[in-house]
Amino acid sequence: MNKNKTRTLRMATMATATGLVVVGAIRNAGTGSFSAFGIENVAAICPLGTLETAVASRDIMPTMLISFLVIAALTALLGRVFCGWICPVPLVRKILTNEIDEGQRAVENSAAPSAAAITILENEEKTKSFRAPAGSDAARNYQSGLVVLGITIGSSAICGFPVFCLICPIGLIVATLLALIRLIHFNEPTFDLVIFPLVVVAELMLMKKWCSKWCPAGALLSIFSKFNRSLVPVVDRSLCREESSDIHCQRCRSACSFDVDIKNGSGAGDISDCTKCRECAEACPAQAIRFPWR
Amino acid sequence: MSQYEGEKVQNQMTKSAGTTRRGFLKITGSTCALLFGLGGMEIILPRSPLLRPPGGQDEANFISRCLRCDRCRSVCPTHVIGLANLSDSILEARTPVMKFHLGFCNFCHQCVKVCPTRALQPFDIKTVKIGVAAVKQNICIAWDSGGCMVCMNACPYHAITLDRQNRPVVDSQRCNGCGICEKVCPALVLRSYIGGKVRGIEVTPLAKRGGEAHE
Repeated sequence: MNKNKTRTLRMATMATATGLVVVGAIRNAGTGSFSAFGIENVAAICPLGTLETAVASRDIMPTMLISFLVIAALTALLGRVFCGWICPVPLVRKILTNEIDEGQRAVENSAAPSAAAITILENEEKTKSFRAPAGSDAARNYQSGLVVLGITIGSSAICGFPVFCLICPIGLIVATLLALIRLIHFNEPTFDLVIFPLVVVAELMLMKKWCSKWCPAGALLSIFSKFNRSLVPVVDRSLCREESSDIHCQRCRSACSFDVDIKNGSGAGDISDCTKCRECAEACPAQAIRFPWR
Repeated sequence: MSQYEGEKVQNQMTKSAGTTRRGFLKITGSTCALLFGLGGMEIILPRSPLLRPPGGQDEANFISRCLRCDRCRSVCPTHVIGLANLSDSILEARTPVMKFHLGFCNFCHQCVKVCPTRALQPFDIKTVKIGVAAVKQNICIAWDSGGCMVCMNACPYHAITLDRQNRPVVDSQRCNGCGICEKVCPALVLRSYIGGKVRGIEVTPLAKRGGEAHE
């Protein structure tokens, strides 16, 4: 039923990343979590955490600065690959709600460009016309993310400790797993085991567009990815249904978590928000969207 | 790319801003309320001092830097570092604390080495003080019935001596809070207390005087 290989692959890489963290924690390898993952004194430190602790303690370590710059450079080079392939939040959302990322509407993709697809497209046209105004909040993802990022850093500076870390869903997902390990290993039952997952569920259920509109870590990465020019999806306009026949399709846009309209650029997301998740390419009934790989 | 941007600007100009502005304010307001609420609550609420890994005794510095990344807990060779939880305080949940019923500190510097943000700062092994051991007279076997010298024999710093009645007394100058006395204390096993953490001698945090470790 689910023919979306890329999605399966993405979920697998996210699970692998989380699995590495868990294995490191069980083996007591000192590797750490997504906040800082590394060996010995070399670690990839969460860039948001770096900023938060830097403003809270009014001090930055050279190792933190190097890690920050390397992550910035990688994000500029590859785009927000972390968001689409490593971050455990989309995986947890998939498990919780069975929804694929934050697509504007979960369009079940039968990627068959046949006569059947065209009838689907015609239905699509009707449903789309309802939500056209809602989708017109162009360029708002970026701005609201930046506001949350600003408040995150401001609150750390004023309160003197990284406040956002307390509710960061990435941190709390790992914390839940760690609490579980502590429970099994040392028989330490705590309320954490109940409350951390509840906070994660609340964030992902109440703030439905967490990744695109709320996440300050994503907003920080999106600043770096403004310089990203590689691994960008390209629309082959000769194949696109909207160009060839007079159909209002927009499936690529509705499949996108970040409401990037790769065709017309009228979505709330910018092309630099692209997390390279390939959902648009998989959703396209005419296979008109190509990524540089495959 | 420029074509996208051009169209986007156009789109932005033509749309009605009412609904989006409301959404925008909602996000701004709720984030402000949540983060400053959490941050403010932690400043107001009283916090009892916790036993931090060595190098983390300057609590204000520690809490401003700790990312809760789990690396120090994970790397500790004696498994003495555990995690604080929500019942300690919302602020301290997931930060590292010393659990001396699970291990003791041999001051190996591993945790300081892996700490990515210097929440745990390099320390001098001669002056560092995680806490001070205190005999719990109502639990300690020697104080009750006498005869036990397990903690005194285990202490590598000769900080535990026996008084005239052969009861252990801690020299708070010599004790650096390594916790081996708490680790080896047999009170739980010999006296059948419920709960795995009861010990006749426990390391207690130094009173809230920041920077005491550097004395």
